[in-house]
Amino acid sequence: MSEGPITSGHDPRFTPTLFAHVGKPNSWTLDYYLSHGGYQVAEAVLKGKQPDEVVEEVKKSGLRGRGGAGFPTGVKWSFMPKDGQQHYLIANADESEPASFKDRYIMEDDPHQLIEGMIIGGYAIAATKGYIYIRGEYRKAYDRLVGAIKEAYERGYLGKNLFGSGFDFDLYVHRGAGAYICGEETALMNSLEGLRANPRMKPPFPAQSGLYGKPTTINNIESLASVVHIMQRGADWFAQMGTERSKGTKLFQVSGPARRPGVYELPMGTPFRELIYDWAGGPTEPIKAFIPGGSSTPLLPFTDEYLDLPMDYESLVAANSSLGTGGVVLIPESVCIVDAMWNLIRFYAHESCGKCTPCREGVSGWLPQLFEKFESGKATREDLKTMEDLLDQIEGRSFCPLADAAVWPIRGALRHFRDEFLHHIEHGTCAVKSGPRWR
Amino acid sequence: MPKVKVNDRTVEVPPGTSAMDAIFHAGYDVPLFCAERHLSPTGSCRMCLVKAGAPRKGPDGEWITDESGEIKIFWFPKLMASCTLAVSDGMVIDTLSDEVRHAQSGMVELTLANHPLDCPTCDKGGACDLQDRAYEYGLDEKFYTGPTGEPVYTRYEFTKRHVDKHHPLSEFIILDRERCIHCKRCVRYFEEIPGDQVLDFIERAVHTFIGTADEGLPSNFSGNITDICPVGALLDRVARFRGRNWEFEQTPSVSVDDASGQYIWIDARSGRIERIRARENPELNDIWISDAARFGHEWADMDRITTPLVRKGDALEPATWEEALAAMRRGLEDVDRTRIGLLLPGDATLEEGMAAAALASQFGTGYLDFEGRTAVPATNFPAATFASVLEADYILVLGDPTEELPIAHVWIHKRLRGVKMPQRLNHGTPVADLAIREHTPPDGSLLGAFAPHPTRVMEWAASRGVFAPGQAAAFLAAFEAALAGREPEEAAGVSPEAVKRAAESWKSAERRVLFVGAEVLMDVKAAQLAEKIAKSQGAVVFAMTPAANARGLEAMGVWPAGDARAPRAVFTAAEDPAADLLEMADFHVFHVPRLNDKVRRYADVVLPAKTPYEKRGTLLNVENRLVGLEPAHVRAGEAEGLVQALALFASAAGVEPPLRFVRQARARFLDRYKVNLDRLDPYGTIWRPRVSLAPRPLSQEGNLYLKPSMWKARHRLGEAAGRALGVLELAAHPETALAEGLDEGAVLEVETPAGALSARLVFDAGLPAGWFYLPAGVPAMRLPFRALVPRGGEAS
Amino acid sequence: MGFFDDKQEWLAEVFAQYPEDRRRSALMPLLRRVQQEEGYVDFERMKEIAALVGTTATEVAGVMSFYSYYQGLPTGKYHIQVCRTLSCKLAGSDELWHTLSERLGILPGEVTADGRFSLQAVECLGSCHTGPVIQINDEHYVERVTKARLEALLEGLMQDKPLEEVRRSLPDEDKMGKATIELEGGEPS
Ligand SMILES: Cc1cc2nc3c(=O)[nH]c(=O)nc-3n(C[C@H](O)[C@H](O)[C@H](O)COP(=O)(O)O)c2cc1C
Ligand code: SF4
Ligand code: FES
Ligand code: FES
Repeated sequence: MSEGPITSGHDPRFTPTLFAHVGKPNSWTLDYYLSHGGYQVAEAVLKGKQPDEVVEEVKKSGLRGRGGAGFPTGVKWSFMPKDGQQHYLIANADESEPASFKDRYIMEDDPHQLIEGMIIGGYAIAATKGYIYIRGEYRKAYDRLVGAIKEAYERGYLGKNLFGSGFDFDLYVHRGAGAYICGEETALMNSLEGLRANPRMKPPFPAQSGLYGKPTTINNIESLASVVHIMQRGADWFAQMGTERSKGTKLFQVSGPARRPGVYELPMGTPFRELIYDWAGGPTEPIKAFIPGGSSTPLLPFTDEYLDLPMDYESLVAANSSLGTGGVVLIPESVCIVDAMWNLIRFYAHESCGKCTPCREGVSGWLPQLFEKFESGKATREDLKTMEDLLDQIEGRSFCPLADAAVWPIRGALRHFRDEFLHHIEHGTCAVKSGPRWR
Repeated sequence: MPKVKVNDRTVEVPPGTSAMDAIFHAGYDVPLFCAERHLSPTGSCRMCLVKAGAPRKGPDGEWITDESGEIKIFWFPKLMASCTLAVSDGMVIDTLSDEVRHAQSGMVELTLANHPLDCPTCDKGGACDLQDRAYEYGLDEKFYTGPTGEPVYTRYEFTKRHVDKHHPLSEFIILDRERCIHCKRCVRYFEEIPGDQVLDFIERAVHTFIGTADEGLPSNFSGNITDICPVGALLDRVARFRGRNWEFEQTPSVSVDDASGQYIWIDARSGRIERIRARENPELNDIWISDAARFGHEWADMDRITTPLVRKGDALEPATWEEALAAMRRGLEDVDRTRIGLLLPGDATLEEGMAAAALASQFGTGYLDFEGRTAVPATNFPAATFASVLEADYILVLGDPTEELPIAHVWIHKRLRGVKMPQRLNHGTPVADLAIREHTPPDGSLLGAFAPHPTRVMEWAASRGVFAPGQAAAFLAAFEAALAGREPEEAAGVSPEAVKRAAESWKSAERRVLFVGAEVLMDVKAAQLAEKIAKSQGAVVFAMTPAANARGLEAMGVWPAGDARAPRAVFTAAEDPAADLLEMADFHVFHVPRLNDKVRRYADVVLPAKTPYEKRGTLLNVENRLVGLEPAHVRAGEAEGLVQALALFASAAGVEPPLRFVRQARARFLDRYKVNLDRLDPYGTIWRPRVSLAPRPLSQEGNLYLKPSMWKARHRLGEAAGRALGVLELAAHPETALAEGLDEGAVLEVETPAGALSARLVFDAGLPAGWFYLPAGVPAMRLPFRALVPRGGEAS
Repeated sequence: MGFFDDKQEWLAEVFAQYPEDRRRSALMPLLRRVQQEEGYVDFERMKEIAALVGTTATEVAGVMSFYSYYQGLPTGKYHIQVCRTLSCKLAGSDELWHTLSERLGILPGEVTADGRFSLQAVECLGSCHTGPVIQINDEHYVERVTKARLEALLEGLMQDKPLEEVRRSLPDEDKMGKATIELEGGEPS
């Protein structure tokens, strides 16, 4: 087990880093952070490395964005121009994708880790100002962040001339107010500018013209936190974890009827089975399907074939799904798939920003009504055909990926659980009997 | 230039062109709802999806080829919205394949899902983009068939979204929220063109709707949204249910509401003007016109005089033209011709001005004038073109363009947002101009704005200030001092810092544009200073004259001579001549389209006149651009043009009329100036007349300041505009008003040259103390404040 | 008097977070402050905010209505937001919602007669492992809202005890706010 890449949390060479301190008493305070080596990485980087070296190191580590799209972080940073303008670094803490709740705990329990990651990131892309865009509902995380930033300023870890390196970095927190679309990076910037949070046209890409028209990089919280450990332990350390093209350690989440639902830090490439059974304690009732990576990812049957899939970007694409944010949801046998999908489509219908026709009229207007027809037992085969046609009309045609994200889980459901839809058509009811779930 | 292949045709287009414009340029069609000329592309309707691909270069810098050695096209993995896709060299675009047509018809289906399909009762019917595309795609059997193979135009069977269907946004505009297809053109328009953010989306997702929280859409440019709304969601409320699009006779003409000569369409039906729309002129007004130009036409169909009238005792009685001629003869019998005064309206055409000037010299009279004339001739200034605003490095505004020359407000805003003159393609202005970006805030450092009251453009300006009325010369003296590097004195309320800042920016700019409003033009000293500064610094100037054709009339010599003696008889085509002029004379001929109090009181003979909507003629606009009026089909009884009326008047005075027809005037113009007024360029012809006229001061005394307003003559407006403007607001600094014993909200009768006007007093601490401001017809005039509080006039 | 008249210092702090010429960025924090203190944002407040950040009331209305948090109508002293998304649904949020709605006798948009409660269904709160989740006003979450915890919660609120205190006193509260939570024992297999 001690040769080759690390692809299991049981591998003795694996130790959690991102979540090393989550859950420890007072882990969010500066004193705690400093007593565990806090800000030493940033100091070493700012004093000892050129920004380009940081970008190179992150590229080499193979870190891919943890916000869902999996774009290589170092490559993204290298898009930033070298032009002496004001640059911005934005930490995307909108975390509104159903089944995702990992970033929250970094902010609640280890906010200085994020701040340190942002200092390093800011340094790498010559951004002297950073914003953390945090979803409005995360009150506790907000309180902890504000407290941590205050402490950091007081003791000189934020502000002017950090560690005597001449690099300035100011950091602010901006709260959202309940809109999933604000996680999309251009919508986020509009929201931060006090506009309606509709996505912006790309190009220009944020690195050319982002926040306030200035070069901007947006990174997920987990991506930024990972950078601290990459810079501390080296790109090779990070790259020895995971699979061929999915490297490093990552936060996975389990929700639904599991014994120990929650967030688990595991190497990339760990099989679902290990996450669900070994770490999350296994299901508490019979399961028939699971969502592998957050609500936007097509669901998969809860069978050996899929449980043995390694959790990495490529394997999931090969299985017609996606790793997304790594949020696993267990769907019990006693829950109707049509009903579960209706719940999700309702979510996307509610969260559509309304800008583009396929999403507004299709995702937000038409699809929920079709599902309602299925639920009420009035749907016909013709309706199923219409639904599939509609998915074709929407997918790949919307302005931003939100509409695609709405289509994908339904595609998964139709691929693997078509019979449950047919049951609704033929019998007018769910294929399964569901009892009360509230305890 | 990048070469792009659209279906089977290869075209070259400038770099940065959108795929959509490349498609049009190549002569193909692509459906669209959200893209619009002069607005930022947003890619939101997704109607313009096409298949696109491009070649790529390998590491060796050569195009990558396929097995057969052909340059390989890498197709985008998804269909692309052509309005937001920039072309690249070698790009290939397919608009005709089944895949593309299917996607487009799918988008039509989705767009129609919640659309009410009430075309039979919709004013947009027949001119609706959605209706056209629904016809084109809706019954496409290839894509949608029912269970038995019958064509289906929508499979949406659920209850459509029911929202507010008759929602008046203002007196001028009515919104039908069910018809809205969320193209966002109207919202982008307000933000990007006038910069008045008075309309926005409310809510989100499928509940998104258009709305305002700013009552009455406070903007001088609200009506344009009715032109650009691709469906019948935003409609001209004044023209509501007045006719179907195919019933209107459409006449291309120009507006005389201000000195820009905005291009308009006059839509008439059964001899009545029902609607005015913007007509594209990319050099002048793009596709926008001011609300005054659009909605200020109702008067033309109200209370028209249809025959000549002759005074019989106290009354004016209908008469024949022969009787009118006889009456004029009698009235002019004993009048020395050199004591005949001729007064024209400010929107009299070049041809009319030429006829009047010729007649005046025939008479030997020096009393020749026009309404809205300024103290200093506008032709003294080197005229700027609107296009030059986009090139300016600094714009200095002395006045209120938003009211005095509304379209200039739009050009200034474009400049501050960094918009450039668009390239012209085979199909004209680009429909999706990728150089225009949404949410670009105006750059105020390019603008200095000063006026006797706060103005809309001041809100953008980095240097700005308010000086007291009559202090324009003091301000300019301070500005000149600052230019010369001397310490400017405080200029009647404007801080020396602001003056210095403006002077600095002005000095460091290479291309300077100066706007001077009536406040400056009415003041000989100020105007001469402005002229000196502009000429010595090579700046170009917009002289924002109150009269639409001031330059044209000046060029024709319509200007009082130095030695004019008080006239004994007056011929006036101006509807509202100053009372003292009328008092001087004992015989009055009015050539006007409508009656008003002055006509009733003074006229001896009234000749029915055409309105500017019924004329053929030419204006010389603020840029020295000749633009042509064309007559719309309006029923106007026996109304005659001014050239003919002047000819008749000449005969009555016993002289041979120098010109009888517009045609003759044009021939003479061609002869003299080598410009054929029958064949102007489509966007107007720049013509720089050589004029030298002496300033003629106008009396300016008192503490009532008549503020410029785009709504020129209130008695002309008609119902909708009257309601929209509501009660006039008399504004004053609280201390000034209280010193006169007037409290906020008091309703007063204020005496003005246009008669007593009722106004409500409002306090405005941003105004210089000691002045009362009234936005009324005659702009930038100072006169004594005489007001009375009518009984029952409640002060609250 | 304007809402922000006596909050100049706070305003200055908020504006200082953004570039000087980008006051509009403060729109959301200003809206939130009004929502926090007044339970909703009325038209007068929108106009006030518009003037402060340099835009129009229309723009403020457009932004405000985009987000679920800001309310245009008055809410109760305790504005209860119940997550209805999938993971919470699997933990019984539908039943929780109906129970609450019935118990309080209100539908979304309504306020109980005593002014205490209003209800709103919201989407995933990012606490899916501890569903069903609710949030009251702008406070820390109440997680794993079992029948027993709901009873205790409502009881506390009826007595108008400080929210934070009520939440802390709920049964099993010590297990909440953790990245993983343990249900009915069980070792990794
Ligand atoms: C609808 C939508 C919602 C998104 N939500 C989030 C989110 O909540 N958090 C996040 O980090 N990224 C989210 N993303 C992805 C971001 O747009 C962006 O790719 C990411 O923040 C980049 O960071 P990364 O490169 O570190 O992953 C979302 C994208 C879309 C299209
Ligand atoms: S897909 Fe379209 S409507 Fe949906 S969120 Fe994105 S831009 Fe908005
Ligand atoms: S997306 Fe609307 S025209 Fe292109
Ligand atoms: S589903 Fe309720 S918190 Fe995520």
